Amino acid sequence: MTRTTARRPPLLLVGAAVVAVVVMALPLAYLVVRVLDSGPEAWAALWRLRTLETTLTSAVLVLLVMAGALILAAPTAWLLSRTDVPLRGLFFVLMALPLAVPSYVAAYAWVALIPSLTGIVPAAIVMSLCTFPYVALPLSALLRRMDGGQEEAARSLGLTPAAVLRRVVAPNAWPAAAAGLLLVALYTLAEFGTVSIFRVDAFTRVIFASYRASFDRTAAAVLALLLVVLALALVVAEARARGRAARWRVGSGSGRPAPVLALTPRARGFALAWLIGVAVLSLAVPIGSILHQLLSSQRREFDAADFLGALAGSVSSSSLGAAMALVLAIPVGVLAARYTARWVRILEGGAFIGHGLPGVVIGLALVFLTLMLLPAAYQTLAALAFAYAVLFAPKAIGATRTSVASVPPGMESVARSLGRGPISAWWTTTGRLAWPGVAAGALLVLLTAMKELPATLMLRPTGFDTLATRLWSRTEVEAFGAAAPYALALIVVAAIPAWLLSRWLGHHASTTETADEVEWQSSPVSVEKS
Amino acid sequence: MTASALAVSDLVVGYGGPPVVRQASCTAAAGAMLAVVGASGSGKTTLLRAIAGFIPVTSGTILIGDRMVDGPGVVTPPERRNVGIVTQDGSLFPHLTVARNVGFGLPRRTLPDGTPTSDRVDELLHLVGLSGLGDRSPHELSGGQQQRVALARALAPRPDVVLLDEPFSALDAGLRIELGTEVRDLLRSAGTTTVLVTHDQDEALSLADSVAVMIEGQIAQQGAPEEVYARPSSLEVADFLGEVVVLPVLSLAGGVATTVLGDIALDPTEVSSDVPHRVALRPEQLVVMPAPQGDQGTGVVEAVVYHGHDSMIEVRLPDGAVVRARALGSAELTPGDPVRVAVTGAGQRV
Repeated sequence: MTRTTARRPPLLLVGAAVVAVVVMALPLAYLVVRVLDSGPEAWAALWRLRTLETTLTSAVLVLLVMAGALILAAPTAWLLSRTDVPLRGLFFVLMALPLAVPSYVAAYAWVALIPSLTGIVPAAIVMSLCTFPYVALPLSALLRRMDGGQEEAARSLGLTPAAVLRRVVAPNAWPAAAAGLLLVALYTLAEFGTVSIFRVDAFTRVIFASYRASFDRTAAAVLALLLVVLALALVVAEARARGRAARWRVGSGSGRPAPVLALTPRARGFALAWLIGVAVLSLAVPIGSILHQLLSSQRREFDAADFLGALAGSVSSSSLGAAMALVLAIPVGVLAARYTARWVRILEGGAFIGHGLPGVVIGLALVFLTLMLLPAAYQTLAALAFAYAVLFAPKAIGATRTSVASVPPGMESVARSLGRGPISAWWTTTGRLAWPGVAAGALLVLLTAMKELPATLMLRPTGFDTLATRLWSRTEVEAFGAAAPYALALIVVAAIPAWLLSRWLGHHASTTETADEVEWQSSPVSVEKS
Repeated sequence: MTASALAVSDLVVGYGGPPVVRQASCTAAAGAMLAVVGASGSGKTTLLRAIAGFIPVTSGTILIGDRMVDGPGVVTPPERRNVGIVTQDGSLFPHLTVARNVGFGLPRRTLPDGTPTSDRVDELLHLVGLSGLGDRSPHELSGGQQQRVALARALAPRPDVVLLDEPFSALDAGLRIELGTEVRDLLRSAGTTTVLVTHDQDEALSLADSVAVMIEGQIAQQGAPEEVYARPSSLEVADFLGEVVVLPVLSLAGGVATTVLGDIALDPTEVSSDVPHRVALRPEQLVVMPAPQGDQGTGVVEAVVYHGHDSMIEVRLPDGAVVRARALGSAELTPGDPVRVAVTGAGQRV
């Protein structure tokens, strides 16, 4: 990555970036002000028994999902990267595909199949099945590129193969697994649809309920702020875990390829049974259930006009959100790609405020903000699109930064020396080469926003529906057949980024061994759900 | 140094296709260092990995001391061979401290003889010159220090044989020579039998007690460094170990070959009935002097390449061939000078 530090950044660029960061930080800042303003009332809300209960429920749920994800991911990743189990290519794709099933869609599918499912354990199982690729993908990448020399050295020092797995492979793989597990935790903490469908009183559901039913908005704000603190702690922990995983490289890196274990026929049978079992539970059951609902429901339950209306709602609000995200992201991304000063990094960090922030928090903050400052904007398409922009701008910033940084700045100087003005020089070199990456970032924002549920429920104009809200309202009244088309549409929307990512992964896997590292450590487009 | 601590006989190893190691045989004397040297792809690393037990052998035997570890019906897993290995990049465990790396192959607390494991670890760290660095992480050490840790780790369980797989090739040139000598002395004083695999003939010749030259999966020649360098068994071996000057033989009588550079004694002197076509010399056996005034000399200087400690002089002979001679320091010759070329020492029939 070539950067220049000698030049001062243009004032216009700095101004635009500062404005963008301030605008993005506004909702959260207002939430803090709102809580501090309520003073004793907020303090009392914090120390209610319900706060403790909610925290415990969320904590237990997060721990259960992390445990479930690890139990699913570790054997799967090991089998696919370290054994000669048949059809590895196919199972590798199947392992990544659950990323394309938003967990509230999976929750709907399971409940449609077994309507009596409620509570924390089913919620944890369904969310584990949807999120385990976050652990399995980096884990299998690491297992595959681990220096086989280490394992051989351990054998020479007297360890049996089982002891090598325990004393060498597992400790080496742990940082990669830990980073993935923290992503799972962050996702679980922020997830609204699944916990609501299974009636688990975690933070997101309680916040939404206090906002909607009781008009106890101070309590909602206090809980939201507590949730932000927990989410921020996870974001910091995740970044540190990734940093630790990156530091753990010793030697020149020209080690032996990792050994591949030849399975006995019996072990091969067990391995295949495991992989098929995971694929059935994570993919076949939810998709089968949706298709079953779709085919068995009576024809009159499907209203084409309703569906097209919801699709139009999703596309219009998400496109507007993606456009706003792009406007906010470009100055920050360009600045971060070209200048390394400390204040630039702080500014970039500030722009990532929406990363990992639960939609329910931004939804609530924008409800407060519009009612207080700009009542005309309350429950408008613009407010909704702005929520999307704040939540998903980090994806566009990452994409912009990576694309711009990959263009050598020397090219711009050459264009200048050939007689072009500064703007024309930028546009014909950096701009021209970076725009496909930036556009991909915007597309990712668009597709991610289409799956957003809680902020959409809170901020949408009256009578306005998206695919996600329609699935939600049909599921609430147990109209499972009517919900099925929306569930299917959401899976299609979510599958596009997963498909792009897998293509990208496949492309990189064949080039260098550091590709996996680039992928998991500085991915410009990390695929995230809802 | 009579008993051999390691004996490899007629070893064949492959990865499914044509074998990579083909009927290779070599031995290492107890407490000595054997260098297996060969070009990349010659099979030397495969040979080493077979000794360590990382790849199954197709046929042949490997003896460590008097234990057969590979042979007809015998396959010993790596953890029961009592062989230590140091790889090119050390393969240290990044999740453990330096001390835990060194103690990895030892019981957690006390050794069988009752001494605490930590004492043995300290002793080894002292041996490799890293006392006091036991609490560091491997990534905090330089490349050379990492290799020292890898060596200490391999030596900790007192292995019967230590295998060094290009252990210095990832280091820069100065450090490579310094660390190589130090490691050799250290292993020698510890009485450890060592096999060093390298592609660098200088490293092999300067460090080892015995050098085995591997060419296309076979050990072409094994012997003391001076012997394989001065009396190579074939032109391939001669060529791999250093530069060679090859001259056609004009006539042969009584162990003396007549060439364009005059008469050259042959070594060994016994000459079989078939007339050797060529004789091989090392460039340092050629002595180049300016031809006296008016003398045409035996050749004309074509080029002089100055290396500091020595110079390589290229001389074009009357028959058009170019020979290369090595002279200490600067040669004080310029292209075009007529020179005389004399030969010292004996030549090899090839």
